[in-house]
Order: sequence, then C-alpha cells, then structure tokens
Amino acid sequence: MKFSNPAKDKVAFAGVGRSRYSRDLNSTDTPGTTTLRACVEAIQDAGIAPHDVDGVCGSMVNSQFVQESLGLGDVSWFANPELVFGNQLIAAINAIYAGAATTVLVYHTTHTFPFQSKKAAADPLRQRAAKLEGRSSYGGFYGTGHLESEPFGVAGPTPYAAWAARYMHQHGVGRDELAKVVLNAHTHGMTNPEAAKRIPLTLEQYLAQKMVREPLGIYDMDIVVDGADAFILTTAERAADMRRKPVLIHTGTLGRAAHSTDIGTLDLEHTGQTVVARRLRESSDIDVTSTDLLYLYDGFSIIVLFWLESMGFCPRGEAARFLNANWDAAGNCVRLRGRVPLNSHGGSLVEGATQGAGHVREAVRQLRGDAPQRQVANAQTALVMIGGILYNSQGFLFRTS
Amino acid sequence: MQRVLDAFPEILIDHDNRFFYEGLLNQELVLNRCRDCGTWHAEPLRAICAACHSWNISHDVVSGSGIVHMVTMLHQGPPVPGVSYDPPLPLAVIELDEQPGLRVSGKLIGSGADLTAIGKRVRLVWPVGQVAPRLAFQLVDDK
Repeated sequence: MKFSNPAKDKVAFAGVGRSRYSRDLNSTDTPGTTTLRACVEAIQDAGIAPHDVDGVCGSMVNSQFVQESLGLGDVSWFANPELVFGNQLIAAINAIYAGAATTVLVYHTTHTFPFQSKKAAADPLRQRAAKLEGRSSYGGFYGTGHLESEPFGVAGPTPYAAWAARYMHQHGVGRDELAKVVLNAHTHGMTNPEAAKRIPLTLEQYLAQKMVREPLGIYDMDIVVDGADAFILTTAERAADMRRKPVLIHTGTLGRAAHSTDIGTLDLEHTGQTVVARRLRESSDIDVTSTDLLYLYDGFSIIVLFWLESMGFCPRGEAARFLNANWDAAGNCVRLRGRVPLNSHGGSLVEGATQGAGHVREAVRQLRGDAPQRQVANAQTALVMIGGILYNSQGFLFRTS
Repeated sequence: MQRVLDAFPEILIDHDNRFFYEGLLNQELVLNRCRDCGTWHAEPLRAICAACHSWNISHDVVSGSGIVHMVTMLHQGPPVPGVSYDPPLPLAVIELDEQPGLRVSGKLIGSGADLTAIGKRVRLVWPVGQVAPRLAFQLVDDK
C-alpha cells in the first residue's frame, strides 16, 4: 500500500526562535527558562500575539508550564511526545491538518545531565534533579525494556559504536574515511555564530583524537549543551498572510522497523531509516536525493553515512566513498553535485546536540533566506533526516512554495 | 527475591526480568521461551510470545555459545565498582546459537577481544571477582 500524504504542503513554519546554546553550565537558565526564551523569540518572529497560539507541543518541558509561563490563552490541543524532535513536529502537523489547533507552538529543550559531563556532575542542582527524577546512565534509563547500558550492556549510547564497528568491519571503511563527516561539521560550525564549538579541525587531529567508545571518539559524538529551539507552525493558508516567508512541510514521517531494539535490529536494510526512506519517496513530489539543502542527523558521525545509504544517495557501504567523491577540498566540506552543502550549520557535532531541532531550524532559516554568513543562494527545497537507525528515525521535506 | 534485589541495586527488577537476574546469580543465562511455539526472546523480556501471542512462557537456560555480532571498546564510562576502562573494556553483542537474531550483550574476553573479533565464536564464562555476576563471553578457537 502506498503511503498517502493528505497534509502535503498544508502546514507551514511561520516563526522560529532559539535560546543561546550553553556549554559552560554557569548559566542560571533552567530547562524551563531556555525553553521560554526560545518560545518568546518564535512568537515574536512570527509576529503573532501570545493569545494567537491555540496548541502547545514540546519535549522534556511540560506544555502546561509553557502555556502558563507565557500567558498563552486557552488551547485546544497540547502534547509532550517522546524524543527525538521529529515526533513533536509530526504531532503538530497532524493536529493542524486535522483541525485540532490552528497555530501551534512547538519546542525542544536540551539539558546536560550529570552523567553526560564532568562539569554537569559537579553541579549540585543537576545532581539533585537527576537523583529525584531517577535518571542515570545505566539500568532502566531507557524505560521498561530492561536494556542495560554501559558498562554491562549495549543500549543507550553504546549501540552506535557497536553498529559502527560492524559496518566498518563489513565494508572496509576506515576511520580516515569517517573523518569527512566530522571535518565538514567543523568547517560549517566556523560560519555559524551560534554554534557551541567554533574551532577548525584537521584530519591529523581527528585521527589522534581520544577514543570514547571505539571506533568512535570524542569528535564523533555530538556535544551536549543547555538550550532550546522553538517554532510556530500553522496552516499554509494562514502563514501566507503572516510576517515571515512561510516554509511548507511537503512531507514528513516517522519510521520504526519491526525489530528496532539496540541489539535486536536485524541489519542495516531493516531499520527505521529504511522505513522512513520508503515513505518519504512515496509521498514526495520531489526526488529526495536532489534537494537544494541536505540535513542529516549527526548525533554520532556514523549516522550520517547510514542516512546517505538508506536514502539512496549511494549503495550500502559506499557512503564514505560518496563523500570523498563529493568533497570540496578548497572549502574543506562536502558539496553534493558541487553545490549542496551537508549540515550547513555544523550539525549536532559542533552546533550542539539538539536531537534534530537544530537541523530543522537551520533548514527553515535557509529556506527563508535568513542564514547570514552561510546562506545558500536560491534554496527552495530541503531534506531533513532526524534520528538514528534504531527506534527514532524520522524525515521531512520542506519547500518554499 | 531479596537476594536479587540486593545483588543488583541499580536495576529495575520486576516480574518480567527477575528470572534473568536470578539466572546470573546462579551463573546461568536465562531467557524467555514460548512453550507453545518454541520461540526464544531476549531484550526486552516480556510475558508474551511475539510470534504466537501465547502467554505460556518459560524461563530457560541457553548454552551461551554464539557468534560475535558487534563490539565496541569502552575507553571510558560510568564509574562502577569492579569495572576498569584501562585497558579499554570490550563490550560485545553475541548472536546465540539457539535462534537467528537472538542476541545478548556482555563483556568480551580472551586474546583478540577487540574490534576484529566480529564474526568469531564465543562461549559464556563467569569471571571471578565481579561485584555481581554479569555476562562475559570468551573467544574460542573454532578450527
């Protein structure tokens, strides 16, 4: 059965906002505060009044808190779907298309937990929050599935290193080839004033990096930040009369394969990514491999290679060679067909780990012509793939008209 | 029951997974098996058979022999009593002989316990000196 997409081009981004992404952890901004900063900016950017919002949908920060704190009026729809960020977008798109709400405030918040960094571990307030909320790096962190994480089990952050090892072993991919993903990210991070990490990186530095979960090292992992992004979504019809140039959601989907656990996923041909790829291809009027802009989630560097292959840019096992063939040596970055940049904001690897929200924001800003220092001329279409290969794969096509 | 609660204070023990942890205390790898259709289940442990929807599930010991499906080497990790990351700790996913796709994870030990071990044969072992018993797999010569 073909994937139908009645909401095609019916819902649009009408505003974007973000808080600062902080790594120093000296900020007194709580997750609530970064969320509110991003939401206020999105509302102002869209040129609407707080009472125009009639739906609220976010990630870790409760939607009731946001509604109350911002003095929004009555809302007819609200939700706090689980991560990663495409879930919030899909929920809002469906709600708007179905008429449950007309103007939805969508946000995502990221906050560094004590087990994610030494600095965070030294913060007594974060320590207490983690303890009271029952968060730890292993033992039940991932819910009721009884999946143990490091050092005893492959779940949570460890599976990507393990799948990377198997993939690199099977296809003869070296770490020098994986480096292209990371070098590209650092090059673009330099042009993004809002990136948390803005330092150049050489191949030699990459190869000499500290290993964390071999074969992945410190540069292969996204960088945890405190921060938030927010968006105003509404009907394409309304967005056309609003302050900003609308960005249409052409299609979007979630995808999860029949077997999707960290270690039980069958193989790379049966993943959430392959489900998403099939549905996007079936529902899009645009060839998914020929958009003007390309955003591939990079929570771990290896995921970029998996997305390229799953989306059909190249055969399985060939992504590193594909990036080499599309490498702009002078620019020290990827340019597909000599033109299309990959993760023009630097991605999660350098801008900050936002579970896809940063990729969405950058795509929207580029399509609005609102990405100073790195604007891609005349960009009209964007492919935005979020999540990894396992249980959280998602993808979108955005366009200007 | 108290014995398993005391041995694994960090684990959310419940009636769906306690057999696995009780198995560890007895130095046995216990997984779920459907008494009606014979299908094995590992993670997540649950009370139903996904293949036939039978609730007639037994908790059976597997041999613990299989093939290394994938590996990562932990050069750092959460501070846990009795666990060292120097030298790096090889953590592997093992595909068990009992059924295609039936996988568990645990420490990999033996000569060649690194990223090149993918595809090699292992057997379940119980190293001494662990704070609580956990799965560990020894590379074996399969010539």
